[in-house]
Amino acid sequence: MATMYRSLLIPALLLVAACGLLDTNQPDIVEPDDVDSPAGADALYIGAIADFVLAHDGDGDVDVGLTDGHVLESGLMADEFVLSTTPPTQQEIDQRRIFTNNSTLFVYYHYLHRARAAAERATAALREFGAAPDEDFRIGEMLSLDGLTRIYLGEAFCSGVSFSRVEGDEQVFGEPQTTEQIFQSAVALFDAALAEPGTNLAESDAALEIFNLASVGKGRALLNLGDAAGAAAAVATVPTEFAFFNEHAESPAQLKNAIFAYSDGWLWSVSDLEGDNGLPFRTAEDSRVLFEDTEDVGLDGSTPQFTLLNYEGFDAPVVIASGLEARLIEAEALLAGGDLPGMTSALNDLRDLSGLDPLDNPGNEDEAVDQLFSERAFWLFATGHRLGDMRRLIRQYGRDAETVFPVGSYLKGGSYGPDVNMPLPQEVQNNPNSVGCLDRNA
Amino acid sequence: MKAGTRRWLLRTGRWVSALLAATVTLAEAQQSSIGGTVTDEATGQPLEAARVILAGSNRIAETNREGRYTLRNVGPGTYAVRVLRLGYRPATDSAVVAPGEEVTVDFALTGAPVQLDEIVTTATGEQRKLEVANAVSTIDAARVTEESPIAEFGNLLSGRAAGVQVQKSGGTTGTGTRIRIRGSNSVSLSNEPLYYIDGIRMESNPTSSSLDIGGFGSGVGAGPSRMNDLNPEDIESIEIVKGPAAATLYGIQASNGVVRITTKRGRAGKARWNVYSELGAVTDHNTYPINYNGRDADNPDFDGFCTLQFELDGFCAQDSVSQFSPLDDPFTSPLKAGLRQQYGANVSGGNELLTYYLSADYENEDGVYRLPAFEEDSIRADRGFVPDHQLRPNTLERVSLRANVGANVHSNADIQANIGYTSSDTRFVENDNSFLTITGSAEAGGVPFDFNRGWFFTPAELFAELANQGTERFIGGLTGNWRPASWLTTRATLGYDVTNRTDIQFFPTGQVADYLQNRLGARSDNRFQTTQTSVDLAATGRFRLSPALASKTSVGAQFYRDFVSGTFATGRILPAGSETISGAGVTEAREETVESRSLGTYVEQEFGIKERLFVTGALRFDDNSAFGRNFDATVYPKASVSWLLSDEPFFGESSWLGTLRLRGALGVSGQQPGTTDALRYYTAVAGKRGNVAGTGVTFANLGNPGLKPERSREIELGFDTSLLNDRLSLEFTYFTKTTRDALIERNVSPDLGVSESQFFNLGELRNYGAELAINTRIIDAPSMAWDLALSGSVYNNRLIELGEGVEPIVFGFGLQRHVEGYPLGGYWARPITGFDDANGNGIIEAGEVTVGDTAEFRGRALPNKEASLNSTLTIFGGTVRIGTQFDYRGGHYIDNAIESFRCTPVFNCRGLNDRTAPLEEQAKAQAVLNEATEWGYYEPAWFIKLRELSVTVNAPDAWARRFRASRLSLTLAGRNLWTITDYSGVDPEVNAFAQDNFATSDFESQPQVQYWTARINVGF
Repeated sequence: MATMYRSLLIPALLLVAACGLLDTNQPDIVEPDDVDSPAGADALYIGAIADFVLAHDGDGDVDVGLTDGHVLESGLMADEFVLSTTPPTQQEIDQRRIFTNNSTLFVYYHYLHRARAAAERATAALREFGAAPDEDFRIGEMLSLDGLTRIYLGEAFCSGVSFSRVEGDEQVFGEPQTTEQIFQSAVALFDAALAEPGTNLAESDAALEIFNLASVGKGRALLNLGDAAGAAAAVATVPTEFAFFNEHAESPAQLKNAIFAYSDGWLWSVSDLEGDNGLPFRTAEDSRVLFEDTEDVGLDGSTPQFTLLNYEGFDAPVVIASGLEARLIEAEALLAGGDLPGMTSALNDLRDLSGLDPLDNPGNEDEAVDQLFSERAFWLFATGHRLGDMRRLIRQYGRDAETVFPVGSYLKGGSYGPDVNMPLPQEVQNNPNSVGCLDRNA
Repeated sequence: MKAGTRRWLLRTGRWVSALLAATVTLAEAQQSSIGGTVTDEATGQPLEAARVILAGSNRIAETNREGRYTLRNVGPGTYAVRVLRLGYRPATDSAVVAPGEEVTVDFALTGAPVQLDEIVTTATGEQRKLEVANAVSTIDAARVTEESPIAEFGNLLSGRAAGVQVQKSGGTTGTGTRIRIRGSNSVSLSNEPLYYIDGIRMESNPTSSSLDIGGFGSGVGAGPSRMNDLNPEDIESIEIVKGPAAATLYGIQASNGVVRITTKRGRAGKARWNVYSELGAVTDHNTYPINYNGRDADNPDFDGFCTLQFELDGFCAQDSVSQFSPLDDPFTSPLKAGLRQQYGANVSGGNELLTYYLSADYENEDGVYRLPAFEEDSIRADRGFVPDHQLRPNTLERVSLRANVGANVHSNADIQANIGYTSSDTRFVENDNSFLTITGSAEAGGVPFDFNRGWFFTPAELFAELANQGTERFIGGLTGNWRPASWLTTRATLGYDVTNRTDIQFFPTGQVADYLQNRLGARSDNRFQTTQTSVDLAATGRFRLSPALASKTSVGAQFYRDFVSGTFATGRILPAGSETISGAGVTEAREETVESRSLGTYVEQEFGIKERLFVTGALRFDDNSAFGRNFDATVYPKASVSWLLSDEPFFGESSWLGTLRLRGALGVSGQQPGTTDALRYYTAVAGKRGNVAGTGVTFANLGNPGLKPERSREIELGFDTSLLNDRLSLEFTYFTKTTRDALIERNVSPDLGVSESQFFNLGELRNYGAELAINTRIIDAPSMAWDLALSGSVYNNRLIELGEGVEPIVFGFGLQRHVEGYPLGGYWARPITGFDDANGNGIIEAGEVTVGDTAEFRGRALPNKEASLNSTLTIFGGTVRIGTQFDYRGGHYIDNAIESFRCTPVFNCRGLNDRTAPLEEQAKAQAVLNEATEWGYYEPAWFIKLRELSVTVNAPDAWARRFRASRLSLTLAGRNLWTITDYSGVDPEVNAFAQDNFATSDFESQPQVQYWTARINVGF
């Protein structure tokens, strides 16, 4: 009987279904075929920018819940911020005692990869569907954003990050990369961006801006590889006044500056001498770190709230590369070359621009390193550079982690942990090639 | 369309037309009927609502007010006529019908303490429970609402059906309910049952809200459940179809069971009015935890935060420990009695051609929150008035109307139209994992001597927020029954359920808590329309193949369309005094649309042998818009046997055993993927470059073109028996069900840079357990009767397979996991392996607790044992009726997350501050503080609650007549009156994750509250 009914009813069912009775309208989604066009390439480009902003600055949409990005997470693990709210997953990062099942860690890591993959897709789409790829500065921009996300992954996470991709219905899993390999891949992307015809258009301000962006990005990647001289060469043509921003707006909510939202909402507090080794971001009373002493406690009810004022509103832009950073890279090259007075002079040139008192020449190389990294920390405060710098102090300058990162009693109880970078979230085990962290060293 | 297909359709159409024409002609030639009166043998009074069944046919009639029934259009022949009625023994008589003859068959029924047989509604139509081989629980809702404290639909189900767990997430008025039948069948999809009302599919979202009122994101807090839109007063009965073996014919989405609701109908007779009025109080009698704050008056930085550990570390010196709970102090507490009132009337009646039931109901309930007097005075002094929503922030107001009309349009046909309308307005307070909750602000609050009087945010600040949901809901169904021949019944049902919902959230500028940017003013106005369209066509043919062998063949087809559209509008930065988005400095809007469609057919064949052995087989076919493009349709089979063993000649007569039925069933049902789970797609996203904002797309879902529904296969075995001269009935059921092709929302490797997860049909899980229901009359005397109903169940739940290479799924604060070999969603953490006050200072310090390296399973998060005991004592010849319900749940743990939160990061738990605290309490505080393990706060969550207590006094007839009434009763009732538990928190029944699929936690949640009501029923 079953066979008979099946032979009758299944065809009937399929017939009715074929007549469109089961067709639905899903206006909220965009299918892949819809983006295979010039307009689709434009949409992927804007989408890649949005994904990058989300990964770097976080999501400031309070209606769907705030999400913290690279600036906040790396600053939390470093000595820039202290958590003044309650989620234990963020506390693990602040306390440098991070478990791989940490959901905040997963979101942070995933968002960085999503931004990277979005930039790759946009690059491909602009090349294939763009009206004039040879004149399109956006290709270089996408390559640069791709490179920057790799830098963030390399600076924040342990060695062992993989880079995978989706091709059609197939998932192509990448092999784990060492931290060095990650920065090398970033350099390659910046080189590609610099070589793009659209990045080298004469008399195009947009192209020049991307050229400078790629140059600073390359310099930062080379610095992470310990090639200060190469980094300085990469940024040599970048003017000091150059700045490339993540742009924000009050509306729509997706465009809100999450760093401001976290600070203004008293979820994050500016640190000072955190865990003994931290820099005096508050007590230095430096105009480069703006904050308000609320004389109150944050949302956890216990942490004194010092609210960051570097970002003045939801629409405040966030610098992701600048001529200032280029000059700091050049100063580090001077340090690497043994020209300590030259380094201080370069740093003072920058300070002079902001009316800051000049620094004294360091007495020795250690002091010079302290001076340089302190200047970098203040100039680049709350821009997602500090964690990478602290790791470089250990990796490239031979400092002991216990003298670089916050140590001792943690202000919410317990003590600081041993982590100097973030572990890979446990979800990476869904990549059959992944073995988690290759090592946890800086 | 292909030529072959067209020919097939034409040929089929001709056959159907010819068949119908023949049957109509046949029917018109055979106008016979059977009618009569059903009375109580003892009193001779007519019995209404008795169900009269023409054995071997599809014909069921119901007696009217005068006890009369008529079965029209009966073909010539000899029939067995059987009568069933609650509280009476079934009776059977025979009728010989000649063409055109009207045959009279009267019945005088004798009382029976327990229900032995009844009519149940199945996917194919009404039939005797005896024929159905599955355990189907029936709730006499009409009686329960009249005599028990029923504030919402979920209360009707609670504790009244074995294997059915009603989990109310908290005590806030208007919040929802999580319902599980025989455990959880799905890892990633909903485990809520399907709901049908009067034969049509009903929207029953357990959390239907976009309000950001706590929980874990917008719309996931303790919002309302749509099933609670139903007015319990309008419900006649509820049948619960428990598992895939029984729910096969309901198709995809039915694997979690089906709840069938039947609303009240009119019966032929003069108009009968019923008017009721209910007045009561909603109160909070919970004891809340005390905030311990170590004082060091000489050290302002640590005054209030001087924990024992800080003292040991030399940061402060504790001079005292402040102990205070703002919720337990009458001066600071906003927990006050709320008023509950409900008024309604219904009228029913009609004649042989037309029957009607009309009702109107008004309900108003104030939750337990009220602005404390000191804050009310302060606001009045400041502003001259207190907005109503700030004074009473949690209220429910609902108007329900219903019109059910039945018409016998022809001797062979009738139509039943059922229309329900509900308008409700509910104000919510924030609960569960929010900085803006009352419980959170109190339990994680400050010290009593600070300017907030122990609150983190004050009640005035919290109550200034308005979170309101307004709904207008229409549920309309039209059912036509046509009996073209005595052996053939056809049915067509059309249903339309539409809910228009408006969620408004308003933060008045400058008045609310200083949290994020709320104090700048904000307003959200989100509007939704949810529709469910049902078309159900069915036909049943009954044939008597021989005197001993009857055949019943049913075929049917169903189409369902679910559609949700919503628009979201938000305005932020409002000028002081402004209450509209129009005045906002920043506005934004978006919309959302979700649609799914499904189409299914079934065929069922039943053979009845000598009216005591019933063998059934069926197939169900389904297709759905959510299936992947590489998957076409699914087929679900079922087979069952029901054997009334006690009617077999070899069984003989027994003085103690009345009836015994054995039953067994095997069936498969499913659960469809989410609407867009199978699709790969992007969604729109805003980006900005060069000072110009634009819209781009971001990768949103990886999709899976091979996605298909889950398959849950269940085997159910059981028996029903009546014992001791029908004074005790017992139902026992064993079930085992296995879900294969379980949809697993597998985390995608994040380095792919696409969506976080992807659905696969990878998993397998198993539930098995047993249910027992005992109904008995302990005392059966003329002046006194005592009925006891005990029901309970126990089940085991195991995740057999999660899929190759799939890592355990972690959720719920990262504390719960789906792990192969373990119950779904269990609690996991690194265990506390020991503690020792090594230095003997009476304080467990950071280094004196040892914790394991890897997480271990602690226990289930959902109860796997439940039992309820319902007792009804009737005294003074039925004048007084006393009802109680005890409700037990156990076998599970709950995370006392609020207590661990009070230890870190708030520092006001006893374990950290009070040197007299037990060492174990100090140890678990240290473990969560220093080792971030929640292990010590997972606590056994079993409980026994006195869920219901009611006393009903039926006034003597003379009293009723004074009011020109025929019936007058007064009921005093209470709900949630007493709890026995080992749980150290406030209430083991709360859930900060509200109606979430698995996640469970006690965190900043409003515990259950008590209800006390007085109700008057007057009948005219």
